[in-house]
Amino acid sequence: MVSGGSKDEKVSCTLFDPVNEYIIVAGNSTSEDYAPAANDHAFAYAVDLDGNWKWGKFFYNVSYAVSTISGCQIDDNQNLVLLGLGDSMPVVMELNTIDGTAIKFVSLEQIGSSDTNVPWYVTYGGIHHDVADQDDGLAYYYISFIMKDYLQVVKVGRESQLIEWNYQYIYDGTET
Amino acid sequence: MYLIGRFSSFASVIKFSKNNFNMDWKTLVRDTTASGWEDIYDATAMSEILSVVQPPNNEFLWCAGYSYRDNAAPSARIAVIMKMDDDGEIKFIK
Repeated sequence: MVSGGSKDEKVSCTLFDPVNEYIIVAGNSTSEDYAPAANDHAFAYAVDLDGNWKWGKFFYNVSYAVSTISGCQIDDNQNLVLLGLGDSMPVVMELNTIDGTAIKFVSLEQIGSSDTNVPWYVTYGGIHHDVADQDDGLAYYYISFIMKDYLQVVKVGRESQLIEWNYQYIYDGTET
Repeated sequence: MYLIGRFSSFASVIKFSKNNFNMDWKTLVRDTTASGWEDIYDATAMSEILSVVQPPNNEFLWCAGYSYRDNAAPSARIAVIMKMDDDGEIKFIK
């Protein structure tokens, strides 16, 4: 099986879904014959262990495409949790692993941001969904990304969508 | 919880508390002569960690990534793997 288009596809994640026995792949595409336009779009798809296509999604919204997926996890609810960039800001998506339907979408926006004042972000693979915290039993996302040159680590309540804490981590070169 | 990747130009592993981000320990693969770190590998041994696995009920993290060999002048990347215990001590990088 070949999946992709006439330009570049970059794969960031390859996961095994042990319940459905799918291999799930996610990343970024710039192929207009794979996603709707020749700019950055995120994609995710699943195949079974014989390579048969089960489902595929590209993420497109005319002005605010989810441009890339850079981090993935299958959480303890067996949902696919993705970290990417949407509207130039970090986003977390939860998808049903059976068919790829969206369950949750959370966008992180710095307080004080505006259409003309959005800090730059880079996401890598820093996403973890703890479905039941050992202390309070609630679900939290732990997300890491770069914002304006500095490493950020954020804990976000899945249901409350409140930031529990956010640390900006700066290495001064001397700490041991 | 572990935060793993490349930090301040060094391959890094940071273990922190989920409750308050208190740091348990941090290991950067870098020049040991700079500040008395116990590990024996300098920054050319591993430049970035791209993926990690910890086998169930096992104390060791296996980190895969690459080395630039010359951190000051990045060029070709060479695949490397690092074994580390859950106290942050590097066992080997190959």
